[in-house]
Amino acid sequence: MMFKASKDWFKRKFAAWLAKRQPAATQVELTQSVIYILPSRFGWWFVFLIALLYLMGTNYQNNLILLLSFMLLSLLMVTMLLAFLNMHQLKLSVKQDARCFAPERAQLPLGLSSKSCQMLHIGLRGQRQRQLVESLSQQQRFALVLPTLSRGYYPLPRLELSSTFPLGLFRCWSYPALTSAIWVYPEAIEQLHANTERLAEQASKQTTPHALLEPDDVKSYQAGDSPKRILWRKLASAPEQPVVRSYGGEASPLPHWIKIPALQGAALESVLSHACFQLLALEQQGHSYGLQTQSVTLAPAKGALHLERCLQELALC
Amino acid sequence: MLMANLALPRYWAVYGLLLQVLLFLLYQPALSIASSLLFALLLTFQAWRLYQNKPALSNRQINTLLAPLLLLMLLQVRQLGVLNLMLHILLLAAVARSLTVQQRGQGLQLLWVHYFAIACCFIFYQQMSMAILIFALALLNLYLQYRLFAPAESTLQPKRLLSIFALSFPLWLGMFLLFPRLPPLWQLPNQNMASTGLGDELDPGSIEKLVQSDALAFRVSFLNERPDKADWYWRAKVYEDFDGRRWQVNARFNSRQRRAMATELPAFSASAPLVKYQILAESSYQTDLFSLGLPVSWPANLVAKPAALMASQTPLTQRISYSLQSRLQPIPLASPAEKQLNLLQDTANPQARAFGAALATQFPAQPDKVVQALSAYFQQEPFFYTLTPPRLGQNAIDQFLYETRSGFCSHYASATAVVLRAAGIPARVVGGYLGGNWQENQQYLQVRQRDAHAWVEYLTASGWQRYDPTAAIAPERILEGIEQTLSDNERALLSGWQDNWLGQLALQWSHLDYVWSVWVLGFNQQDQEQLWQRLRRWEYWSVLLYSLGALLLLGAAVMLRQWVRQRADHAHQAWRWLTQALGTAPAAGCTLSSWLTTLAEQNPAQQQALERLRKLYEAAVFNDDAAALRLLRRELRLQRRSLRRLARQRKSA
Repeated sequence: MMFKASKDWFKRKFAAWLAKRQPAATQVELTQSVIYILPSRFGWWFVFLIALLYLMGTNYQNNLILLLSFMLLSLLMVTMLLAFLNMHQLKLSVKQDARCFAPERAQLPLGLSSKSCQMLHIGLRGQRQRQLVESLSQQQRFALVLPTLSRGYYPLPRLELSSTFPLGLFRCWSYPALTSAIWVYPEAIEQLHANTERLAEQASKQTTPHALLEPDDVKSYQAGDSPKRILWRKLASAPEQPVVRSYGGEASPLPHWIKIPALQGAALESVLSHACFQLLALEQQGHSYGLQTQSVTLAPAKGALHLERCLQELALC
Repeated sequence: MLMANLALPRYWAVYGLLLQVLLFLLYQPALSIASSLLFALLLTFQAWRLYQNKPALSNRQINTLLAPLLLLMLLQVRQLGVLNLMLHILLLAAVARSLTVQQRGQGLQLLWVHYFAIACCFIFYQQMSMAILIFALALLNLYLQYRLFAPAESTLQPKRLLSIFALSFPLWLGMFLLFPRLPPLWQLPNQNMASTGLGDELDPGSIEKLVQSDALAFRVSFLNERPDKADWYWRAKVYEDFDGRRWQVNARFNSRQRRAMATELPAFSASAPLVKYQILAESSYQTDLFSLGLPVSWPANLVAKPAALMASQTPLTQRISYSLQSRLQPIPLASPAEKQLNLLQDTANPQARAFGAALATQFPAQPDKVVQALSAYFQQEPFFYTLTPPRLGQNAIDQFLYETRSGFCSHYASATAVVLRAAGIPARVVGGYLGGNWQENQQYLQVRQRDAHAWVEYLTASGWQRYDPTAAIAPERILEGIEQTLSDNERALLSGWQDNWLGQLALQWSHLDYVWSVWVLGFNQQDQEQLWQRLRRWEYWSVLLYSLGALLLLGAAVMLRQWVRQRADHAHQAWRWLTQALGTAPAAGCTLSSWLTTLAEQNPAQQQALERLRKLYEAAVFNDDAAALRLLRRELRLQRRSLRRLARQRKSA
């Protein structure tokens, strides 16, 4: 018990120390102060071998055995330098968050660049799973596969980059932190109840294609409206209130409201899954839609950005 | 680890097999025939497996295969000895492991065992050629290690390798020269091998056999003036017990008391010439070493034996080098017991003993006269010096002196000693080497088994005098060496091939080997201490240290300057100066430029000055203009007072 408590305490202290030393950034370069290096397990065996050979050379008073042990020792030292240089000046950058729907594994797109780096293991700190980059020269894009997570929002944990190149005698590693996040949206599942039928009904009404319609009216701009439809001439006179052309067919549909009731546990998950499915369906059909959760209300709109905001709200529920 | 699970390419296993085959060949001296066959079988199986691309054996399979083999080896422990058994097990471990290796992670143990097995080769081989081969094996193993940790398609870049070599070689050399060396910490099992060189028994025929060998016995380099060639009598053994036919080393040479005796330095006369020399002895699997005259100073790891002989503490399993200082003088008598011991006679050889008694009555208490008379006897009577003497029977000395009259050095020496003892003069036979080939270009003396020799020491008032009866019969043996002494037919018996170009090449190689032995194999604790002392005595240390210190300081200063500059880049600096001069800083959200503009608007008196400051500030920060920054600083200094007044006004307002 005591042991576990002190271990946790050390872990916390170490994490705090790391956070102070290496705050998260969108671009990280591995420099001397953030690269750590220690002999690997085989490295310790190698040290043992050298000591053994030294003893044997001494006891047999055999200079050649001593010579071999010193050769291995000098190689050990040079390898330490080479292992460090292999990781030195490696640059890591991140541009966007990782997103996925619940049972999938998110992938975080990373930019890697280095003069020459071989056999780089990339993974998350504290996780077993590692990905291997055999040879890295110049710039390269890399998708870091994250572990399976349940619905929610997670700040990206520290990464762990490590390598034992060139002789496996030293393990060189670093814990860079990147400012990025992982969004795990609920799984999109269609659930058959009244709600869905109504939605299908509404969707079937709108069969008339837009291209055939003539512009006959104007309406105020809603987020998600195509910029092509904005009346630019009117925009000049009233820049705060853009006006868009409206087509007769779509003037009528009321915005869809997706409401998340105050539920908990499995019930909430199932509602969220369905809401997710609805959001995707509505976006695909070009409707505008709003979302109302217990904490937030998002005004009706459409477009990829709006969809993302809505999905993020679902993830946060 | 992810990498550990990557599959190993086939060529890795092939290189591994090559390495093991070479190891197997190098291990031949340690392997019995049965185990040799066994390893050959295992290696063939591995080769077949690789050729057929069969999967590796599982751990369970290899364990069932290994258990009986290991048992078989343990049963041979008596016959093999501990060291050989260890080598067997090492090789078996390597070969067996290589049968199971499939992934990168499994190769590590194999490589570790390989390194160790390669190092063990040096127990048998120290010649330069072999050392080069063994180091090449170590490098091959290193390459295999690199392959375990490198990307599959990467290749070795010569340029990179060269830089690695340039980095590691000075380290290597430095460590070899300067890393502290220790005396042996404990005794390790050694190779059981038949000893070479002179034995503890001297038969009438034993030296003849030895002389037919061309092998190197030892090499000598003289550190001060080289003594006369007639003095190159290298003493190795003293034979004092005689049974009528064969001479033997007395038990006192092997007793445990010799250590106590070794502590006292022999009494030597300061007038006798002092010779300083270094000997590089080949492995003989004996403890006896070689020395000239009376050694007066020897390294701590050697033991002084009775009769002024030198020995090492353990049998020589490898070349050793040692330095000695000797006085070329008779060896002093150790004790009255030694005198008595060398007067003992046997009942055999009545004629020889009668001859001795007659000499004693002729020259009473005049040992030198007796010896002269004996010399004259050898010269006057038809005695022959030959490598192929006839076989002798029961009374060997009588037979030699009065019937065959032809013999080799041991015959003459033992006959002389017997006659002298019969004349009441303590005498003993000394075995060792005489002369050697002086290598003029390389300045060392090469002594081979062919130069083995036996002579006599007899006691006078001043100590044990050397007397070589061979000199009376074949003086050219002493002056020219054995080849010149023998007839053509007999010379053919010596395995000689020095005359052709191959022989020349071999000789050159042996010179190189000598340099190798002296500088690499012979480098010991003593040399290291000397090196340290010489390094310490080097007078430019202080200069070097001071200049290094100065360089370090300079470097630190440059770095500090850079650091300060980096810390205070233009924007920072300009900001600090301006806010200091004006006494306040702009409110959050307001840029320095706009702040200065408002200030100028509010204070028409300083408007121009403030505008100028703003412009300079903008040029310095946004145009990164160092000149503007300097100007800004000057301007601030010039306007110091008015700006302070302005600051005070603002504060009071």
